Amino acid sequence: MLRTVVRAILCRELGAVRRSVEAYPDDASLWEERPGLPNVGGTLVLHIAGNLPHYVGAVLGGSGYRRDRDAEFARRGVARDELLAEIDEASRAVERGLTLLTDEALATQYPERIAGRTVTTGDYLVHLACHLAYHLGQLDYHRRVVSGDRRGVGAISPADLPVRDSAE
Amino acid sequence: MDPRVAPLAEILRLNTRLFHNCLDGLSEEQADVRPSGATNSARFVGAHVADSRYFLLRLLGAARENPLAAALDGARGIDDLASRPPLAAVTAAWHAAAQALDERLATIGAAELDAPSEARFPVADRTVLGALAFLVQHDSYHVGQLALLRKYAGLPAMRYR
Repeated sequence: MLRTVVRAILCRELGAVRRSVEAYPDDASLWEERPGLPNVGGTLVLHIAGNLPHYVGAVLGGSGYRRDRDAEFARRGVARDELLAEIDEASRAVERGLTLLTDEALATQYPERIAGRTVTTGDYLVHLACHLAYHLGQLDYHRRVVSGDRRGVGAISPADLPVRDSAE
Repeated sequence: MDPRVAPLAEILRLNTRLFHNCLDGLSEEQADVRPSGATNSARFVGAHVADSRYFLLRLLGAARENPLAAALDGARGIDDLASRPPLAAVTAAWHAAAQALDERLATIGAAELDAPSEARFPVADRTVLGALAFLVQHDSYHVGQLALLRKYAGLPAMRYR
């Protein structure tokens, strides 16, 4: 059940990341720096699009993806279409990685140590979902600040979760 | 604790630490800073996400009186706030809810988690566990915004530890 819930939530949040990127008025505004704002939207998207393909796609799914974390924070001016393509690739990595994962594997040790700690795969997947939500909230605020548009993109919407009335 | 709840409870505890670190050292004036008219302030975001924890407590059958209820009554946005709760009140409300949540999640049983939720989420996993997972994400979403607002107000970046 946890695997199903995490997959649904990750896919939902990545959908909201995609809509956020599309809601920026133009490519340049994704990279617009404002005093006091720690990360621009483009950087947040690259960070999200590097994090999930690594931790879910490569580590759990054996995709062979090679993450370049430094580049996530160093790159600038990446076009919106390229960012959208990276989000879509992250979505595919999540789908593939979590489809291959068995429910039994959730209770086993995550293959990499995280911040020097040993964690279970299930616990780490929940952490990844929350990490995504954390940065999605920041992406929403960066977009609002640079665009002046206070409308949301329907992030964290229960309407984007699959219908399921009772426990599996 | 039900094993399905354990990671969610851990995230809620993490968010409590981050929430505290986001507001640590923030003055009442800084709590009202908004990067633009299109965003909210740390005071409003903090009060809103604390309020959502009382909503979660209700869903889990452990309702507590929300001390921020009067200030937030009917407010759909920052401009609708009936009054501006002091930061200390926001923090106190959060911590009271956090403690109650921790205690409730330690004892909630499998049957209760699998029961239909009273939440009026239109199309969703309608179990109590589904509602819990949804609200944990909501929690993290707004803590991320609080971290941004803290930095924007001129304070050092939020500490993770």
